[in-house]
Amino acid sequence: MSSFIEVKNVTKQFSGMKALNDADFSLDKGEVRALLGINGAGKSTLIKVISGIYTRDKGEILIDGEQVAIDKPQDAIDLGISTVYQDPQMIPSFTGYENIYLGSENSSKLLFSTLNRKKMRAKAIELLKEFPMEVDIDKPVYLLPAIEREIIAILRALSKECRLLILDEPTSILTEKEKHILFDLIRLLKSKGVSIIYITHHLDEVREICDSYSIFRNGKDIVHERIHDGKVDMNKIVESMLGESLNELYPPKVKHTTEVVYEVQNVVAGNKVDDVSLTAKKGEVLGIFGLVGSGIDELSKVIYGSMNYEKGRFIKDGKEINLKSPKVALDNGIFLVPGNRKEEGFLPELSISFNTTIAKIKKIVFAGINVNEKKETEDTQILVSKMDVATPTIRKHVNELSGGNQQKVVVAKGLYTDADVYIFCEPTVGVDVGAKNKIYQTIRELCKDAAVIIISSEPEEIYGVSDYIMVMHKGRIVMEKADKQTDVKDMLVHAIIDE
Amino acid sequence: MELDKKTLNKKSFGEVLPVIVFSVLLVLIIVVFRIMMPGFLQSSSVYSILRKIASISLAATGLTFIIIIGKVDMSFHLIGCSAGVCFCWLMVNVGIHPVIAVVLTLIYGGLWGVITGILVSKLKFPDIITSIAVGSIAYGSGYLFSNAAYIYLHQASEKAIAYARIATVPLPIWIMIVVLGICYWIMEKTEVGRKFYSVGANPKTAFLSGINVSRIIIIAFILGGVLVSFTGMFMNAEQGFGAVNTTLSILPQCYSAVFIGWAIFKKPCIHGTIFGASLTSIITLGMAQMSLPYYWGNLVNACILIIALMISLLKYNDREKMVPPEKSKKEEA
Repeated sequence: MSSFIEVKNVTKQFSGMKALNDADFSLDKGEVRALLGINGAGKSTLIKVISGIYTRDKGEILIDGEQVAIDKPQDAIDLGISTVYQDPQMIPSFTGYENIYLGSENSSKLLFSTLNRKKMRAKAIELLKEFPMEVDIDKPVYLLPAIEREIIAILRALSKECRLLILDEPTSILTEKEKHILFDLIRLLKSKGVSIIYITHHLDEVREICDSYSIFRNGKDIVHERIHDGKVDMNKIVESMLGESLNELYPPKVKHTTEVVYEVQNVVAGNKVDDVSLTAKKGEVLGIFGLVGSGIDELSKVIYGSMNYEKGRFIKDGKEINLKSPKVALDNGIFLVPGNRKEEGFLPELSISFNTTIAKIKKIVFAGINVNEKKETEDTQILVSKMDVATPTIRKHVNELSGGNQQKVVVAKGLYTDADVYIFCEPTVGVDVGAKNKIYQTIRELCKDAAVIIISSEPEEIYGVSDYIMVMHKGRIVMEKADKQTDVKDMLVHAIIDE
Repeated sequence: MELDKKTLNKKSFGEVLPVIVFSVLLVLIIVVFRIMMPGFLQSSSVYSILRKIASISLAATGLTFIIIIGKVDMSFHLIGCSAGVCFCWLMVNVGIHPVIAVVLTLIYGGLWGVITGILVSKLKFPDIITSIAVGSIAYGSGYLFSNAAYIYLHQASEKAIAYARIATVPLPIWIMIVVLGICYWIMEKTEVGRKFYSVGANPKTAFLSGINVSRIIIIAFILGGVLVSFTGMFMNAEQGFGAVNTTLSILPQCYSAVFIGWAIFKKPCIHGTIFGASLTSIITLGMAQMSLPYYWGNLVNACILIIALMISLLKYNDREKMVPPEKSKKEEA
């Protein structure tokens, strides 16, 4: 059988980093193929190349054996390629059928032509006859449960001629029961000859619904395998996803005597953090691993006081603190390097020195109010050289630096607070290898005199720098072990598989 | 790092250029007016120009605080109207001593800022619409003081805030120098100023850096209300009667002042606003002295605002260009 779509030798670069490196991928008609890989493996880059959001640097895409040009999203739509993203983009106040035909309401080219709602609704009902699903198309979508929104998003893709459907983690917002409704729809689509690329982190779903899987690692396709009789070797998949680890990236773990500094007890925040307790010790790096959406980002914020929580106790140096804002955390010597650097990490349009000193501005304030710019310059200078920030001057605006250097400034800002608990959340996302190494070194150096908590969705990173490891899954801590008693595979298995 | 220390205090040509351009422009405008009207900007009329600059720059500085924290205020001119009549009412109808009336009026103006500030920060109301609503209430309240009639100021002491002189220099100019000096110092040299700029740059980062973002937003709106109250008092006292619509037309001029300052110094700032206020005031007054109708001044000021915006945007685009576009990356590969 010849492939429906074939992707050959595709390369895509972002500022020197190869997100896709000579990758191949193919899919048969009516096949459901899982696309697997850890964060940054190149999965989302591949689907963005296929759906025309990114233009590829090199390589070709063939459909039915013929070379096609996909340079913009419309090209992909014209070829019958539709993507349903993790959180489907819809207009909440519009009804189901209005959302299905959003953007294609009218064939008329007039600027102001009236909408024919009746016709639109009739068309939606036709579509539902073809794909019999239980969904209310007359209600505004914000009133609908997650599964019906998901179905509407898929129907929108099907309303146009659709031969290839890309589902990006479609089950992330669905309940266990709702998942099966989605799987029924996938089977139906399959029987109608629609090919599906299924991106997921959950291996049990792969076994249940997919015909085959492809594993990506470092922008390259590593394994393509068919699934026979629902048998999947989980361990083999996890091994392929991880590959050889880069030991030289991580500094040696020098052991120190430990002393409890910061305790978090039974914290609950919404449905994202569910009864989590942890103990941060001076002289030790505590690593918390979890996939994106497992609640790790929320956890980092809750223990820093920047997110509301329902329950929980926070004990610093033996005394309970009322952690109601980041200010309280900072005053108690706790500092967070936030997970989303661009949105939370730095102050754009302001200088490196401004950013470095802002969290502990008291240190450069003279006589209570006046800022001592000379001291500011000197202090920043020391930290900038310590962190190896590549910049001609500390007056440069932080948004003009590269991602790695931006993150180094955020870390420098933390060092300036002389905290005794440092929380690093996703510290190396979008950061080059050199900066990564520098940050890991800094973390290891910090743990001599302070407690360090590193929270990340990259298992290797957690394993590489931590002395004690916890794994988070669906808001709960599902594993905690000293680093010697576990390995990356073990961590990933706990983070992926539902008990 | 040695090199760093040397370059640290040296401003690049790109930074200095706009300052030069605007200074030349200011001189050029004065020269043009001088040629057209030989009487323009003679020693006798210098004070009248400075008076005008004092009125506008105080209101515009209040606005600058709000622009710095990344919000927009559409209420300050309306608060100025309300505060102006409140001031006249306190002196004439209530019979309060002018000095106490000044203090009460400043508090009154600040209170409107408190309302907008709390709505915008704590309750997350949208800034533009909220300030229009609060400003309109303030403006409407102005009529409660005046009963829709003029409040005439007969006593010299009642007009003193505009006409009294210290060492031959009129009081408003002294007030401008002192108040704006303090504002400049606060914003550029103190911890509080840093917090203002942080909130404007990225409120999320500011919050995570231990700054009470809501408090800073409220303080900014209070300062906006207080400073525009000075303008309201000056302008009403100057014309000799309290009328509700006195400061109604200062809105475009104040925005021009802030954005001209932004264009010159690459950030909204007090010194930039003073520069901008001077420029717009000289133009307005020059046109008035050419005996063009008053609305010409407004018209020209609105046009200057557009030009100032264009200049600040040009610079923004420059910065965008510094990031290499996708295409060049491809060529490297």
